[in-house]
Amino acid sequence: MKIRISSTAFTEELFKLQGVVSHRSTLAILSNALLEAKDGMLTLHATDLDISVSTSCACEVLEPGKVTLQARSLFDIVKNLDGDTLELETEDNHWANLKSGAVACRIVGTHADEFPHILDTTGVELFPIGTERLLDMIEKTIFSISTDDSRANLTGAFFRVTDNNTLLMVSTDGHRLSKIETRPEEFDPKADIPSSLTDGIIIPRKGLAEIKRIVDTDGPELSFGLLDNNIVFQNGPMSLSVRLIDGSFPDFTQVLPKETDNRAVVEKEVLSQSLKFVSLFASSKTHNVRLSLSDEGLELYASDPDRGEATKTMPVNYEGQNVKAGFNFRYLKDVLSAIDGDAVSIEIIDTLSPTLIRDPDREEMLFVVMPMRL
Amino acid sequence: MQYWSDILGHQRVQSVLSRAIDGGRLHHAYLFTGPEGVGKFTTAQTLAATLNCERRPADTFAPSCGQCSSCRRIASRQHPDVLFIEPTGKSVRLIKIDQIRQLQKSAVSSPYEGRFRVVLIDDAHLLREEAANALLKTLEEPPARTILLLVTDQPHRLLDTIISRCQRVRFGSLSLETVADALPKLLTQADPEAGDFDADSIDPTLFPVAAGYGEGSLGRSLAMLKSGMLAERQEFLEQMLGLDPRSPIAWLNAAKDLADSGSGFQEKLDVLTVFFRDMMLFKRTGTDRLVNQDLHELIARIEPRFSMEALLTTLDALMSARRRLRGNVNSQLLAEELLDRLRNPQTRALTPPA
Repeated sequence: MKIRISSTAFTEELFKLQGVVSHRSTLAILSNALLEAKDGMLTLHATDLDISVSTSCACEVLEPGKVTLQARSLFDIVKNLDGDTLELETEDNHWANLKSGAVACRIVGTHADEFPHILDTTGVELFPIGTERLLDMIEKTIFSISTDDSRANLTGAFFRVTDNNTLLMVSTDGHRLSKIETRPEEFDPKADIPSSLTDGIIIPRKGLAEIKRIVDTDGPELSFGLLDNNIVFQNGPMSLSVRLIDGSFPDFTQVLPKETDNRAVVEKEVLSQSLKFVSLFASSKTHNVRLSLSDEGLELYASDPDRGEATKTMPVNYEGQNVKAGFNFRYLKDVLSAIDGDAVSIEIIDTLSPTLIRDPDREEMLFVVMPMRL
Repeated sequence: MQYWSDILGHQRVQSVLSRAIDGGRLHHAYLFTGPEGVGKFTTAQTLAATLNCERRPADTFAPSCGQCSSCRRIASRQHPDVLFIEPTGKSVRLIKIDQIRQLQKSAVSSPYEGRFRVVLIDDAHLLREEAANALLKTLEEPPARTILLLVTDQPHRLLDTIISRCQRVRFGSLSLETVADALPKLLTQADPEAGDFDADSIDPTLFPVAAGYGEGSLGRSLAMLKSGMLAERQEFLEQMLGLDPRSPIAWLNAAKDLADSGSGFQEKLDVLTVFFRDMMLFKRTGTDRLVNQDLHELIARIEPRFSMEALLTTLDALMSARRRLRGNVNSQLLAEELLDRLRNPQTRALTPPA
């Protein structure tokens, strides 16, 4: 294969692959990217077997062909070139010669057949979803995805199309839960939705993080579709497919707290600051901070036998019963940083029941944090 | 490349495995046991290739084609669904728990592209205790479409709980003819570990001899051939058996050479042991079934010097020397004692210093 390509365009496409190429995998081939040149296009593929990224850009194809090259070093080389165009030519032993301006180098490559099979995403029925809306959903749920591999079904976010044609994304690690349900304008519910989508799928954390990283918010709108056991996201020439997690997501509706009158609305910034201060005194093992709601307001309290104790009271308008509950302050911090409004509503039922945290201006999302025993 | 037809011998094993594939009744875990170097790992790798061969119809046995992309990638260990787990570590080779965890992580999802995910665990007896216990969990709750192949020549070192969860497949020794026939072909195959080993330099008459030394193990026969010990065998034996009982200097020098040969000492003891076995056989039956067929003249010449009883005690001494050498003894003393036995077969009296 022989191509002539703009180095900036090539760098841009290679950047999109960097998140999935693995550096220390038992399969050496996975640190390579598959390059395919034909019909005036260069298509690039990379996979870590769970996430695959394919992207393409225009180039001058002097001789069509395929090769796999080490993705990381190729990226490092191409981004440091001083010439505007790059000429890449492969030899019979799959080595590649790169020439640009005053630079010439040779890098090791392998036969394209050694690369794992690539999912053919052409012909997949795609539903537009709206880039910003999807990224928002990911941001609101990704932090509470479990990292415990022994419960694989929680290591991803649950995603489904509800009967009301809204999109639901939920994540939990057993201690906390995040849920967001939206109806993007771009999403067209009239299309035929596969039944697996209405039943719900589990998208692994790394896949979601990767979308967040490489999707171009200014670019064309994002759409998604299902192919076998993969969810495919398409964004212009770039397509990212993520292998779904087998297994069923637990029924989370049971842990969602019921309505309660013990509800207080506080300013997010103030709560954030107070939490930051009081958490200095939280035990480094349990990270426990106690929240109490009473006529006097919201009181935060933390104590550690080795260090001391602290309280901070915020005046709030509160008419419910006196309640208190202890929480891991890091879980609270995560929720506060996910909320983008100015106010936060906190609903504590009692010491042992799950506590609900919400953005009063955005009813479509909610966060549940399980209390710790005081 | 792995071809089913390249598996030598083991007809029973082959039929057990091919029938299991044919009926789609594969067990989720197999334990391949048998002597080292008889083709257990090769069979396991070939089975992995056969299971995932793109040209094989589902639930029907067909030998791996060796041509499709799947077969080629399994041979080059680049297939995403075929995991190789081998002992790591420079001084102490062990299979560590991280390697088993990695397997468990990948076993969560279904195979990437193949029909089956095949996990090959070579030298399974080198599983660390915690790794073995972690593996138990996978063996007890086998993931769908995942097949574990455990390979070992020392099954007694495995946990009983592991053995009982696998279907055991026993490999016997290969026949000496099979080994002798296979050696020339194996030698000509390019082997990166062999370095500058010159396959053409080997005398073809040595193949049956090497097969005899390997006792039905192709791997050991090959190692014996490559060590070059076989070619030097006659010279070495003449030297060892030609020691003058009245000349202690030659005796002590020979013992020092022997002791200083390091890892070669063990091989030299093997050579001596097999030679004495041949002498014993020759005394009773003539030239039939000798391992050192090419040395029968030497055998015939030396044999009268040893009584049957002397042969037996020497063999005993050789066996115990082999065992003791593994146990960190003073190799110089060991060599002196042995050689004294050889130069004084009948009396075994110590010659007074000259």
